[in-house]
Amino acid sequence: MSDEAFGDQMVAQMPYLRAFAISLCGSHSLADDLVQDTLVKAWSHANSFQPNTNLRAWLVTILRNTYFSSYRKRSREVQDSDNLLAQQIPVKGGQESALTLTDVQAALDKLAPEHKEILLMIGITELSYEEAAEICGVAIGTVKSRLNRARAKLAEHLGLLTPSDIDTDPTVSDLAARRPSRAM
Amino acid sequence: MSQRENPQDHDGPCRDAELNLNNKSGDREQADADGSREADGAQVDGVALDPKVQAQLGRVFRAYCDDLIHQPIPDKFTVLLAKLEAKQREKK
Repeated sequence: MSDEAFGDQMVAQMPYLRAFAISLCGSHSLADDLVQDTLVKAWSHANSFQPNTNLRAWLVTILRNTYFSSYRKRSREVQDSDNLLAQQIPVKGGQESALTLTDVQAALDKLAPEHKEILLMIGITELSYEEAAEICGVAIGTVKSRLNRARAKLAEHLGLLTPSDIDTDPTVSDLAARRPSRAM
Repeated sequence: MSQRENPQDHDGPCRDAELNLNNKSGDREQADADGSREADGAQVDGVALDPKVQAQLGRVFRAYCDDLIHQPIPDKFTVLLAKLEAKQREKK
């Protein structure tokens, strides 16, 4: 691939890369440092990128490893220091209508790091389960299981369900599961 | 560099579509949330979400992701990428 083509493709990946970094770090300023480091590393190792493979997955790999090796500690210190998002989520009706995107960030920050990263790789950077598994060095089944745990925890942190919902035996009917909440 | 750099060959034809920022992937999240994408996914390790909760969570999380993806990219990155590209050319 020519340098120009590689450069153009890097530009096209920027929105996803930066969104992933902001969500991981919980801070714009830290995320921008992380993205900058990632771009420098990517260019200095450009010849190790195999054309016709997914550039976004390659960049996410670099960013993710850089984050865990040099940024994670710092991100715990600076979280919440700048206002990332303030928008109200436009959802009609339902109990989630009062949630803001900041609430979602706060809920994500409470997740275990290995759960959070999987959720972001699938949700923000739209990688496949196979790519996420490769990047994290785990089996695809582990990716699926982490994703499900991450969703359940996120729903809990957002107040979308009561904690007792999480470990509900799937064989119990909805009606039976909800009975305890009905004060008679 | 210690990164595992070659995510191999999962580069399907759908990748082009994902470069399109207007291509909301709500449908995909929805399909994912209701478990239709993988039969074994919905109840892994006994974790099962009510379909209504899954749908709510899907909407909320999608709104969050879309907001981040659509944030404007600061000019400094465009400048940096141009510099890095120029530097690469000099090396050759």
